[in-house]
Amino acid sequence: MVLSLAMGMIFAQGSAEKDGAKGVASSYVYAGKAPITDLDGQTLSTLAQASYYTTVDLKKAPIIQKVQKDANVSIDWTLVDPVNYVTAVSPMLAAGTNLPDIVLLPDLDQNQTYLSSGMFEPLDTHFNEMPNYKEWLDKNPLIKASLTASDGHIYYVPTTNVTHNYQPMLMYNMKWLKDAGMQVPETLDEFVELLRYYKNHDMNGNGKADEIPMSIKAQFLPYMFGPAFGLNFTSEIGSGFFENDKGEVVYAQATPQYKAYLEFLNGLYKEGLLEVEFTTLTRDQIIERFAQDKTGVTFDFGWQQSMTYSPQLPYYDGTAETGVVAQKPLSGPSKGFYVGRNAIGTIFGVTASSKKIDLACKWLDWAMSEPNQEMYVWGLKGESYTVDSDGTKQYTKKASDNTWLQQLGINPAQVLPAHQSVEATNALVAPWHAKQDAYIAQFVRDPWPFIYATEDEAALSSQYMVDIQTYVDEMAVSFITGTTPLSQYQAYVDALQRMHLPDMLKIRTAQYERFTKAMQ
Amino acid sequence: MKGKTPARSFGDKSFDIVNGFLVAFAVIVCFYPFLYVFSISISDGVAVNQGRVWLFPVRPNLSVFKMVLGYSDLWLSYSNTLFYTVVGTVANIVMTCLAAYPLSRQRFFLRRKLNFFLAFTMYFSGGLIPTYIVVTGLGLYNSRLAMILPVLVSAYNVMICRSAFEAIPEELFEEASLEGANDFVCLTRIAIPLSKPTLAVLTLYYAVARYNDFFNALLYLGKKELQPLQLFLRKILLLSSNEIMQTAGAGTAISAAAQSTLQVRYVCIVLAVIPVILICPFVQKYLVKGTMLGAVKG
Amino acid sequence: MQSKEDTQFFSKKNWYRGRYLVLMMVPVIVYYVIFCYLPMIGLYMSFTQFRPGSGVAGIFTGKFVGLKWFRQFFHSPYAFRLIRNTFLLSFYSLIFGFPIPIIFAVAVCQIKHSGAQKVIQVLTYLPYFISTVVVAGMINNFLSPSSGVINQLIVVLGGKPINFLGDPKYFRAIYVISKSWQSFGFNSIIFVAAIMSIPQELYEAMDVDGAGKWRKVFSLILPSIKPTIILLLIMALGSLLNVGFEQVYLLYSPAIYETADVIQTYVYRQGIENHSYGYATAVGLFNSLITFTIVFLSNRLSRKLSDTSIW
Repeated sequence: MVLSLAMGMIFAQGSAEKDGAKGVASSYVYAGKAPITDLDGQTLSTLAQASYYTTVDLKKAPIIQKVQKDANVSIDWTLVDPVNYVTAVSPMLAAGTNLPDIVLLPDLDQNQTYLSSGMFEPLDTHFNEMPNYKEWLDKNPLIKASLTASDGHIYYVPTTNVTHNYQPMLMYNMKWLKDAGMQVPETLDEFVELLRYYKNHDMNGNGKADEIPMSIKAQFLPYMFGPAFGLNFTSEIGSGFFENDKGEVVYAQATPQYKAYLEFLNGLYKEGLLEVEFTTLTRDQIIERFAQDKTGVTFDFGWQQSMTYSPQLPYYDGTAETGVVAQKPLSGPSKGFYVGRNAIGTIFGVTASSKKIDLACKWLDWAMSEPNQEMYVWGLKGESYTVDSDGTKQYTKKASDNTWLQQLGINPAQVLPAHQSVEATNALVAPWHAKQDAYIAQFVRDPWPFIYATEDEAALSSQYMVDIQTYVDEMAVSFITGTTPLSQYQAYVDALQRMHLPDMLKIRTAQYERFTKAMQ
Repeated sequence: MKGKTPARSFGDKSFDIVNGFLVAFAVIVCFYPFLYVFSISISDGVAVNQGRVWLFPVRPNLSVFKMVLGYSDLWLSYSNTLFYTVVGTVANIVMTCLAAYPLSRQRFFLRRKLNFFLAFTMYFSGGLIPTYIVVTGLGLYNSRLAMILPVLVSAYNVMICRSAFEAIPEELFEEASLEGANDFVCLTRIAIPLSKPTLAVLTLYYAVARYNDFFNALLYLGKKELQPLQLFLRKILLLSSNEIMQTAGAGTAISAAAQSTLQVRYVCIVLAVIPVILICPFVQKYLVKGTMLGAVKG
Repeated sequence: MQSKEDTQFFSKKNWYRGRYLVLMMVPVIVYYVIFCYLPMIGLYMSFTQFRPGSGVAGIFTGKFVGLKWFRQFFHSPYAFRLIRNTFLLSFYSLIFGFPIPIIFAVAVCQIKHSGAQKVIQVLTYLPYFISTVVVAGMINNFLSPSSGVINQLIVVLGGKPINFLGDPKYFRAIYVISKSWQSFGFNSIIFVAAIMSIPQELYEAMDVDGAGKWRKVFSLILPSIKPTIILLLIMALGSLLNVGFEQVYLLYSPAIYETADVIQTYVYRQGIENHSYGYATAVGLFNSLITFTIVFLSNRLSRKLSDTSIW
């Protein structure tokens, strides 16, 4: 007991000394609450993203400045446009010279290229200075497991996404649905019935047979119909691996269920319910179709319901009955669900070459602590939100001016490890939308988790995965359009085996085992 | 010349018809899409979303233009582009003439070797990362020179300029050297004045290249105050291009920031092209007939 | 003709005689050494496992892996297809795209009214300034089977809508046409300048001979600009394996990988999976070697057959 106390004091002493300029010692110990140092004039340099809004300067945002003021540290920001961030920052990291103390990474460092070259400091060795972060990680085992590198260290502090809300979902033109006299479809069969009805009737009342029942971008087909066949996969490169009911890691695009999925889509295509243009359809075209009241069903990120598509409809009056509204997923041989997202959004790292590693760690710890998270979501008390007598928070009227809210620095995930909140998003959308989204959230399932790849795994994966993905994507189109008959499905699976799919499965299984172990 | 025989005038007539048709086709094919872009940029937003604009503006209004022009960054970046284009082009032309002249002199003993030295760089390059390391290693990050120095000379344009210098009759230079002119004088008093058309073309090529350069700005200019127009427009273009901004749930911040999508994109195009249209007539002044003595060397 | 003595590198006489010329070349040489040849050292990355973050030293300290990246590329079942597509796309754009600016330049120079001529020229430059992102969007619009202008025309003429961007066999035509459209006006400028510098006396001489316009084109104009054409042709061969990445990326989809997937887009997809700078550099090096060989041979050929060559 005495020994550990002594050790504690020595460590505290040590970390306190590293703060501040050379020769100036400090006896202040940061324990998770502001400020992080009692020495004045401390600065840290940070490379991060600028705001998406051209009229917003995050350096001047009150919320951002308050976080610094409370911490008694000032940040020297270098902000790069988010649109160009990856292209501009990747060479910076590759060159690796003159990096600031803290960097927002251009990607998730999936193959551990950055951390295995020693560019970033392992943060878990500084957990004494990061009490808030440590506690938060312990409360979120999934995230902790994802962030644990294959050498057992944790290198980054993440921003998080909402994982079950505002995900890609099925949306119906509610007026058309009502006019067709049908209920919201629950199964694939009911859905097809609805599409057939749309195709054969003049839903928009203009006397022309110009109705296009379903307008969907090709990338959303797996999200939309896969779950009905028990498949949990998306259209991103490398997706398709998931744990089936038997606990094995399988590749969706090589299973018998996938054949059934393709047969279903091929049927839709032959009947003209899945249009010829599905491989090249753009969101602009879908917007145009809603504006011309030509289509009845789409599938997209939940946000688009009330923010993009509903306003296009000529008869939209702000209510759910006249808008484009999301409904429950379709079930088929399996019960339907929606594929959610991984919690990890972007990551911040502390460069190993920084002279102020301890201060940087404390800063990140402070920036992600609870009181600040509340501020990121709600803003400044009295200005952007008020608290009722029973404790419920409400946004003020002023907060409905989105530009002002952004200039305040709301949800500053571009510069700070902010956790995206459902409440903040709910406040921006129509009330019916927020309610509907809460209802849909129950149907959302976790996707394949984010797991670091070891060097060997990365080498093999980089060799095989792009080729496998190219083949799978091409053959999917070919099967759906009927260019290749589904009788050839087995030949397709055999080809995948020859393209080293078994090796990829071995890798993914090993990764998954590492992940489940790290969760415990 | 009057007095042509009927056979010749038929040939000439058919030539004129074919010629006229070709030119008319070329103009329509180039102008129509631009008219389409322009019409959309000043049309009413709802009509645009409904796809009703295909030739002329529908219910024209300048609201989207006003919005984009209202960004103070736009004007700052216009002035940056002006700086980079003017300074860059001047530097480009000077360096090109300095390189092309020696390479055009038949008796220059290093001619073959240096020609190869330049041409080689047209095909081999170290790639993005090594070039980035060199440029930032020279301390050019966040410096205006980063838009000028790395692209100081284009071997392609040097070859064209060299070809123009080679076409000048040798006698002119021999006369001059007999009167005691050295190579510098020959370059400035003889070669350059006689190559005005080619130099005009190269000025245009370089000016356009400097004007369009956004990639170097993207890599090396972190400070907003230094950024050129193309970078700013590209940001708005991509922001409002829903196709590219597909990242999950990015729907939250980005869609709202995008506002009118298609229209903003097209307004950006129009704003980028206007300066070009204004400058072109000045350059075309130099593309005049017969200013060169002797034909291009055949 | 130059004697061997005249090109001796170590001859004091030559250095003295050419001292001003050498002086002129110095700034240019310095530029190329710093910004072109120095980075070329980075080509060594093609043979190593580049580790990011170590600056210049990183180029040399990566683990040496020999021809691993090259082998990885060629082991892909798609290697041949990628090379074929890249080559065919640029070859077709050369064959169809190279003559068009020349033909247009000849046509435009026939317009006697100089004001009209200038306006016409400016109008044809416009497509060059429309960024590729927007052009791709327009192409998608125009070719849409459900709402595009082209297909509406086809239906009016009695046919069935064609899914242009979903069918592999149309991609090469779409690519070549859109690329030519964007650049022919701008690329014709140099030819216009060359044609404009043909002295009036030569035209008058042909008039005296009784030559009509067709003969003037083929016997006077084209031969006069032959050196320009040859020079630009050889240099154009240098982009034979360089397909504009954006132009393909924005228009392709798995449905048309068969003809549209090129080396650059494949390497890009690789890059999303993992940052393998060594791999990307190796593929780039391979590209450069092929194009350089082609240019080298054509330059040799041109030197023998005509007086024009790059070096």
